[in-house]
Amino acid sequence: MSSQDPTIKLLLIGPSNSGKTALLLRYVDDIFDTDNATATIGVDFKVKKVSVKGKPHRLLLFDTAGQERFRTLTSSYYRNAQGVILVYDVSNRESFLSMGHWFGEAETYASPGVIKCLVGSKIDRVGSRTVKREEGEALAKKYGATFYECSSKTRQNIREPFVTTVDRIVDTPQLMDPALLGRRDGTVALRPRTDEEIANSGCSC
Amino acid sequence: MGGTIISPASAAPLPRRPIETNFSRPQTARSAAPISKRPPSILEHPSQSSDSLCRRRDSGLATSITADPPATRRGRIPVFDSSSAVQTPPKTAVSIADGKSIRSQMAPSILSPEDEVLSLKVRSLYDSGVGVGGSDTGSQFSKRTSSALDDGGKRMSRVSRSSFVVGQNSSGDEGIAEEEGAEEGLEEEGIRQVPEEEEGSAVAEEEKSRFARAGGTEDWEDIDGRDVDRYGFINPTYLPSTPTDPAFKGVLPPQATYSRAFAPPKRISTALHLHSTTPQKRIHLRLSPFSNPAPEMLRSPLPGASAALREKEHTRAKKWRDMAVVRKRSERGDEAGRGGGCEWAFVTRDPKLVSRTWKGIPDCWRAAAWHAFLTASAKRRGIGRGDAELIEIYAEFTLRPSADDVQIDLDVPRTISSHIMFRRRYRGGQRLLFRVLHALSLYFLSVGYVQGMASLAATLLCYYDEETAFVMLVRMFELRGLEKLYQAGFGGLMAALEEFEGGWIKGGSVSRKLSNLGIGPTAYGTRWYLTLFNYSMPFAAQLRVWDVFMLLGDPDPVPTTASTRFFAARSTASLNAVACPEEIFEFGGTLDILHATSAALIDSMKEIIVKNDFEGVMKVLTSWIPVKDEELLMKVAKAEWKMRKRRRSRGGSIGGPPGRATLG
Repeated sequence: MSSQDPTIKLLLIGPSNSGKTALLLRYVDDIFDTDNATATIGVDFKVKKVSVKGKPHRLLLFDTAGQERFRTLTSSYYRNAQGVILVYDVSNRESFLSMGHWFGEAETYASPGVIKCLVGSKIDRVGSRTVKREEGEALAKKYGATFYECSSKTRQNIREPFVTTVDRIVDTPQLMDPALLGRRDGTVALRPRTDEEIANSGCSC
Repeated sequence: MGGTIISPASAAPLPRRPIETNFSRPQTARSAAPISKRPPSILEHPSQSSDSLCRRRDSGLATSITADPPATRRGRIPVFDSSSAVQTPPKTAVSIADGKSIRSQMAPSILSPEDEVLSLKVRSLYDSGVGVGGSDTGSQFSKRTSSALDDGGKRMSRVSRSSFVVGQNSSGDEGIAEEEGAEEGLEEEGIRQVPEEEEGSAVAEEEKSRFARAGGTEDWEDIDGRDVDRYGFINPTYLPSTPTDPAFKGVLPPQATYSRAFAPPKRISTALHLHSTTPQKRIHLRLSPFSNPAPEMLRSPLPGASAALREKEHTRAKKWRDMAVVRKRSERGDEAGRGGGCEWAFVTRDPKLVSRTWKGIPDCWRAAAWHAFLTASAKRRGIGRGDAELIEIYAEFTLRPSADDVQIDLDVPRTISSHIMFRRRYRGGQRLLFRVLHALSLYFLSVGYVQGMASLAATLLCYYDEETAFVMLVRMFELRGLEKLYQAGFGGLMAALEEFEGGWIKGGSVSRKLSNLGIGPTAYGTRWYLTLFNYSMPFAAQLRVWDVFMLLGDPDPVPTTASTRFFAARSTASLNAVACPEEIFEFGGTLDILHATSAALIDSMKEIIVKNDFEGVMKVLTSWIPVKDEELLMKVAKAEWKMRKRRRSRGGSIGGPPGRATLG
């Protein structure tokens, strides 16, 4: 992979066991393996090469732990993320009800203008669905996010959330600012921001 | 294994030969870990499992409170019912950890009624170990807690449904008797309200009788013994984290090809992971900047040595027997004192023991040795409670609600579920895992349950029954710094990682590169430390690290520096102190083995790290590390550890301040 290609940083967030890792694994490696599923500790990292409008890009995907407790660790990963994918489980109403909170997280820690995408996962569980599609749509609309329902098991709608989010990012000039892109690699360490970064992010936390 | 049976109380039973065929584990009435993992010692009467004992206590309790409303009953019992059969001994009030015990006893009232009901529901799913047929029933039972269950259901789908009609109980073993006892207890409590469950349990019983082993902890349905390695993992692969082995593709030095980097050998040869480098390959480890042998650990050592290694482990087991001293007979035996096994002790300061532990504890001695090491550590440092007391507390805690039950229930089915003990939803090992984590979350109430703990508990359950696994966890938390690592806000974890970065890798080329890329230790170290490497390396390698961690994880004995004195002062006071946000986390050398292992891992990936860009480095650091040669891993870790010791004894450090990490 060429390190010259522009990178796009996406973050997956959402409550524990909502299917973030499964979604990512299906999208990046086309694997669906519940036998070996584990809870994510801290943050997982994946890269995928994508082509946007004919130009190669590298997607840096950060998959975060869902347990509330880990937010102190994961919050630093929001920095410089251009997109946030929020995942809930359509068969678990609690997970849907927590999404307001997760949108709040995204707004608190991510840069303003970050592209958001709401994903209802596990739609293959037809019998145990407890969140209607319309509810998801309404919530997404409220927060200005795109919305998809998908199933990592059946592959239904797996690519769409990523593709749409990337497209929207690329179409948003301030998110693709080369000055920001150049520094994007340095986004993992917990280290103090530069004044310029703070000015750019407009976030006081 | 090989049909061996725990020899009833012979004074010095030779440890079972660990390596022979491990596919046919004896069917016993034990409720806990696979018997094959048991050394000659640990504490159990073969026909009367501690588990059933514990449950008997439960039902005794239940009868004493039949007037309570069902929904809140369980939660309120143990604390407020002074007539309860199980009481925390008055002694607790004055023991070191009394602050904790008081907090624990407040537990039930802290929970909201809603949480309490949720907790009750979740716990009832695990209640008897056979009460629920599978996830289907589970999701009918509680929509709110159902989200994790389908995973279990998929595992269940391996179950040939024909067994529901065909199978009849082939053997009326004690396992069944135990179930009946348990169900009785439940009915007395009147919490079996869901009709579907009954059906489930009938099905479950049939299945259990046919495929269960080790008293119901293991489930062998559809499993060919040859596909299970010596540690109980079902081949073809054990993928503890996201299978990112391709991360190593192309970034490893040439001759290593990892198409399936950590696919274990087909048969029990995983048993023989105790490879050492052959004499010709022997490497003298003096880590220098010019020769770095560490990457070799990612390559398979020479094959074909299995017979020799088997013999070697057998010889080692004999040596361990010679070092072991019978501490006491278990009280769990019959009247004549037979059948309970005994507890072993070791002279933990003996240099021979130390060097043999670095070489790896023979698997049949592992449980006994770990337990002995931590017991010795607790005694020496005067921290914590005795086994008996902890076991009583455990029994009491199984009756209380915990706010973390729902989260624990989400994680149980996705914890080493490719292991023979942990495949079956709600039962066997999963049930024990739930109960142990539940109790742990109550014991360290201010810490609660944190993801990552499940890996630790599952590892211990491979070696101990549930009570002893709980005892071991408590000791590890109190004596090995885990309580701090898991503390809310992760201040302890951050301090530990800073201690590692500042004191162990700082100044090297890797450290410079990482800081240039902006990759801090939280990016990779979080899972290393929180799961004690369970997420990041093969089980055989993880066990080797644990061997040493159990033995050498005490704070530095010589209080030479201000920081160690500070630690010593704190360690007596800390348990009474309520954690304050400004708390300074000092580990005083407790985590040195973890640091040394982390340093060794980084050594092994040094070339990759130095040569790659951000993505390549992140990928290797955050993925599964296919350590093929744990012998070499331990040698490198030992070299790192010794180097660190030397520096420290010189009173200073080359690479930075000796871990005076504080919480920022």
